[in-house]
Amino acid sequence: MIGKVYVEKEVIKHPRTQSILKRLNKEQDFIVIDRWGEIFNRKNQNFRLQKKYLPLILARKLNNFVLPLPISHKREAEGYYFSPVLNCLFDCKYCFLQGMFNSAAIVIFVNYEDFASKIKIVIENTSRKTLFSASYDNDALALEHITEMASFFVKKFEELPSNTTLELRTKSAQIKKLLNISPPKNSVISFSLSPERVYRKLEKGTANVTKRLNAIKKLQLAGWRVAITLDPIIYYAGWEQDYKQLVDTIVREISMEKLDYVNVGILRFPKPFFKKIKKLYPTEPFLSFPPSLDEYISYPSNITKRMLSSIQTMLRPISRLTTVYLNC
Amino acid sequence: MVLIVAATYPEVKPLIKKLNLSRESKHFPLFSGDSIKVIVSGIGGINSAAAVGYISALTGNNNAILNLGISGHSSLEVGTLYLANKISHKFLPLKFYPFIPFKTKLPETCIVTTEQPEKIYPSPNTGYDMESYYFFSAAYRLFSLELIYVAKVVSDNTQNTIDNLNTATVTKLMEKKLDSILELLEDIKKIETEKNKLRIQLSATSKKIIEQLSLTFTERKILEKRLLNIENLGGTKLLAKILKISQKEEILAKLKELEKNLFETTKL
Ligand code: SF4
Ligand code: SF4
Repeated sequence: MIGKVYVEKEVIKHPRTQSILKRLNKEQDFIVIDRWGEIFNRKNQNFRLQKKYLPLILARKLNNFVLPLPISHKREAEGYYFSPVLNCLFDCKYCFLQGMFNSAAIVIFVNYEDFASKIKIVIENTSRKTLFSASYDNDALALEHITEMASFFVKKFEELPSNTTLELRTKSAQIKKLLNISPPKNSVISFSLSPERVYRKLEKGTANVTKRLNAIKKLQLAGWRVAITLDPIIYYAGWEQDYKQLVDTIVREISMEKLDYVNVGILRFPKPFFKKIKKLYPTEPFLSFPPSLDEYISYPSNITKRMLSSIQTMLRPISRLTTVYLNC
Repeated sequence: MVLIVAATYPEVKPLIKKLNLSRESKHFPLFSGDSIKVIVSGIGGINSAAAVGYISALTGNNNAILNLGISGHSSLEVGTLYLANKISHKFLPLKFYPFIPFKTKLPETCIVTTEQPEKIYPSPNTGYDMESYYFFSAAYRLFSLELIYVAKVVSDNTQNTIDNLNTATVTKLMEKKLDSILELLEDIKKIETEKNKLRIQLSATSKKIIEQLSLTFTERKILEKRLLNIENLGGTKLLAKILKISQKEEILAKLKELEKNLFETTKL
């Protein structure tokens, strides 16, 4: 639930600020601030308490518009991300943003146009294929009814060369606004799917798995490029059966040949993120594994090995028909 | 526990009486009950910040802390209780944004701290006091943002000047708002309880295991984490058996094994 709204003095009159305030019904009801960092970056805040009453900040991004994706994202294209929105309306227990940011406040940088022009410059300076993720720091569609972020960038990317791709990841089924756009060539909507049990226990606020599958079908029918993300795959007694069942459902319900790709990964966190998340969920069993000494925290190697081998087997019906990226 | 910092005694007298708080004076006048402490800081920012530091050293910083008292206001009527949602200073650069994680009927406005009583009330819908900026600056270093609040009862505005105030009228103003203040304290206590649920104590058995062993600092940290994992995974009862073992190496090896086995069979 959105709580207080803060607006940087400098962007109060920005047309996008005004339309977002209108959609939120907060045209008269916001707190004026100088810079978003005053609220967002302060230490000593509690992510979990903030989630119940999410602050929302409207701001202007001044620098670092486009950044390279961490190398763990294995793709043949040059990978970048840009984040017009920070944080998420949903509340997944494993969300790594909890470890990355001090605040759960949703930040919307209203100067989308500046992101778009910086993206153009990056593309002009390379001859390689490029991939731009807009959902490294958020869920790309969760707030679409308020931000219209995805719609804006999908349209922008149509003006760019065809060897570039915009990836929008989501756990929502908010595709109404997208369906008003004619299906783009340069954008892929990637739906994160999890077994029903994982959705129920760990993914508060997201659309249930059936709704996500229906959204995929509708978009595919309308001619959109769609991908699937199975990441993070979570370990628990019975995980294998649940994920196997999920894969069966996917293969049965979705047209695999039309799917752009499937992204797969096992639960893992950069070490400092894991430490912060453990503090927010100190008694959570699924996070109570013996932590490794590596820079990335993941399951003990015997579990990871077993998981990888089962995942490869269970994905066979998919990998025969479309590209699978294993980010582990 | 909710800690209340007030500038003067008349501002908290009705609350102290109502809750039957007992005086335990030290450097500051301090009044204590089961779940509430009231400290009277004296007027002005430095005093307020000093009181925050003092009470946090005394009681720990896992509590909630509230600056309660009177203030001027450019728009609200005299006698209105309100919460500050933005705190600034007339001449200093920082700004603070209290995060109020509960629904409240109380109005919320910004408040500006001044060094002299404000008699002109220049900005619209703004409170004026002499402490909250310093209170918040100090509290901010010590307490979690969601547990720091500023609540004020309007004592003066353009129609009712500050010159009409005396200790008796201040106490009267606060007394009239006592019920709303008590309600606010309940809301704050709920948040504080929720926050403190995140502070985990190991079970007695786990603590005993740690005590029994002579451990280096790092070994101890690792063991604490392991024991917490075991407890989270439902293995607390199994720890009793470990207590009976005397060899350190064997204990550590058994615990490692236990943690591993429990995690492998844990349900979601
Ligand atoms: S899942 Fe891991 S690799 Fe992927 S974006 Fe998150 S932190 Fe980076
Ligand atoms: S949907 Fe993604 S960004 Fe949102 S809470 Fe879940 S993991 Fe985090």
